[in-house]
Amino acid sequence: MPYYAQINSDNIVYAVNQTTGIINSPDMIELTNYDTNLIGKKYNNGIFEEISLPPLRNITLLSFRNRFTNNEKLAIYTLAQTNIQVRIWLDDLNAVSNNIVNLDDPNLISALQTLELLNIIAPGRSTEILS
Amino acid sequence: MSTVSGLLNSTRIRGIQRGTISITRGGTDTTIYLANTTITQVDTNKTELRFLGSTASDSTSISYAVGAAIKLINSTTIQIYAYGGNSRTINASWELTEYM
Repeated sequence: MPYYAQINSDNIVYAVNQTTGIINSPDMIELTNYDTNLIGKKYNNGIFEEISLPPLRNITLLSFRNRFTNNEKLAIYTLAQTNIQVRIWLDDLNAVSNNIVNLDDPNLISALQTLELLNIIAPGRSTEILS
Repeated sequence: MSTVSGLLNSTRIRGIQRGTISITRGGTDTTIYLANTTITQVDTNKTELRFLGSTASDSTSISYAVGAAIKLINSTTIQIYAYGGNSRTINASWELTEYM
């Protein structure tokens, strides 16, 4: 039975399969054995290379909240009284798993940029808060 | 007839496939825990897919159990959907049996 490592568009192995037949696909790299240790490695000209990922930028929800000034919090909560989207965002934020906020979350970045556009936080603050 | 094929025939199993699929954040995929993997073509009406469990690990490399779902979305594709909060990586293992 053949074994395959499946690679994504960055040539990173994200799956290892044992199948019943041959699979001819450029993203399926045939292996000699079922080696799940290849997951996460980069396939480069027949060689699986170790790669290092940038660290996750996670902080607690309280730490995230503390990045806002009191005036910014007042402005955000005041806006949330009339803007349902902001209220939804606040509720989503309070519901994050394990009270952990990922500073690279595209939704979070977008939300802060929107607050900036609405002049709820000053220009440049979204970058400061997410740094 | 070999012993293995004899066993398969006696239990009316056409074939068994298995695998581990992983979704890692931090590369180009930063928002979702959804991925597909390719298998040899099966008859979906005669195939049983079993979820063998999943783990997640965060930036401190601590692994813990995590919820995940896995399904056969067509005759050559298995899809995993997982929820892992802000985990770095989610791994899920599966095995399927195709009957005759």
